[in-house]
Amino acid sequence: MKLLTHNLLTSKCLKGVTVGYPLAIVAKEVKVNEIDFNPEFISRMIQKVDWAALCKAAENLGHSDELPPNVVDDYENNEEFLKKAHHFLMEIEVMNGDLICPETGRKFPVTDGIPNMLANEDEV
Amino acid sequence: MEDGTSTCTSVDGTEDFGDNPTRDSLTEGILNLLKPTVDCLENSIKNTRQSQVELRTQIENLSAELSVISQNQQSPIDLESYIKKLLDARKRITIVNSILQNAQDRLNKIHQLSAKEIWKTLPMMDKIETPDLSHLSSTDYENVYEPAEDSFLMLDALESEIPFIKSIKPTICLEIGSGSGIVLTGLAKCLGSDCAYFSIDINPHAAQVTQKTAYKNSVSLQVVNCDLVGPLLPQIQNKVDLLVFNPPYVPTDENEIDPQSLITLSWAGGSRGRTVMDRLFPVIPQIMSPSGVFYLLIVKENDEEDIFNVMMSYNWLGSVIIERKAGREFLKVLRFERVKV
Repeated sequence: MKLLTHNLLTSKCLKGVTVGYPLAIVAKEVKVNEIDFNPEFISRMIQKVDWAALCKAAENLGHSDELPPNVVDDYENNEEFLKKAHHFLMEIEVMNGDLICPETGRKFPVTDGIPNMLANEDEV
Repeated sequence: MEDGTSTCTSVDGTEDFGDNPTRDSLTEGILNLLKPTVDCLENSIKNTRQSQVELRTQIENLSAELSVISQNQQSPIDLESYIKKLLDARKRITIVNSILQNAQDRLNKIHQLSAKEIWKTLPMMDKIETPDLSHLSSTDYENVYEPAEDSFLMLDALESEIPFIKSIKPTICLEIGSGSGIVLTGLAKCLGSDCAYFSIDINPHAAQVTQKTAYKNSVSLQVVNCDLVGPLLPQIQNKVDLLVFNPPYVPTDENEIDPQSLITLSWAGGSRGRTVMDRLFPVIPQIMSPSGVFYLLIVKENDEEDIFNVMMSYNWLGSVIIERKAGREFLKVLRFERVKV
């Protein structure tokens, strides 16, 4: 699971959960895969990303303060920023661990890089 | 993911892919490099031939005039030998001319071939190659839907839409119910790294198999095991540029949609085959980006007119883009777009 994917996942579908975002990450295994840097694509993607949630995910994985707290102005032309965004969104992958609902503490397991977001019938 | 590196190099490395963009652009480049030389050669041959033809006529005229002169008056010089020489020269010019003609014919052939090649390479980039599924066995297909006519019709539909899809520049592609992963993998291979691909399946086996299919074909898909887009809401709102759904469409009893039988979930569609897709329709207007496009596979029994009406009530306009009869099933792929106001 890339942090890009984590950026979209919520536990809002659970009964009684109001926001359910971002999910905390407790990682047992993390991988870093080198991926070709595509600045044009990353620029487009940044517009669709919740930056604060990405910073929090990075923090959960022990990368505090490595990302600027906000998307910088004129990011399309800021290669250093785009490369960082690329690294955190596309290259870091949680292979095994848990995603945790911030409100209920419900765990969603990540196995072999695939988050299991299925909820039981009585949970929704 | 194990193959992050190969994920990105897939687009520009391997030789065993039918539509390899690198090879295509290389071919195009070489052809474009050769073309000016060939054109230049052709032009000079044409010019040479033209001047030779002129020369030949001049010689003919000259020799005719010389014969007239030699006949009419006694000349101190014997013109006969010169006339012979001139006629000789004319013969030689004719021979050179036919050699040049041959050369030109050959150049014309090269020209035609290169034009053909260029034509071939251009649409190549817009082709979807059927992904390699050789890593899957009958055991996998006990729990995961095996690609069938419907999967291939969806691939054909998307292939016919590639120029349009490229024109909307998708950033997020999402497939719901990816099964073996054949459709999204094919699409990802075609569109490359300008886009992120998310794959959803309620069946954990299907999620794993989709992941494997992505690895096998050196593309990167972001797989989530969940029910429709539930856990992506509301974060996914207004973000999906391209949505593909080949739903369980077979009309069955409602109670046949049995969560305990994962393989049944891949096809059992309840009343009119609409139960699962009807759950998705209301969220389409929420999740799609302003220029988003949604492709849906249905069978006749799903009642396309009614689906069009449901979607129209959300201001989404549908059309049939491809249809095919496969055994008892009459399959169609519908395309939906937001009505522009």
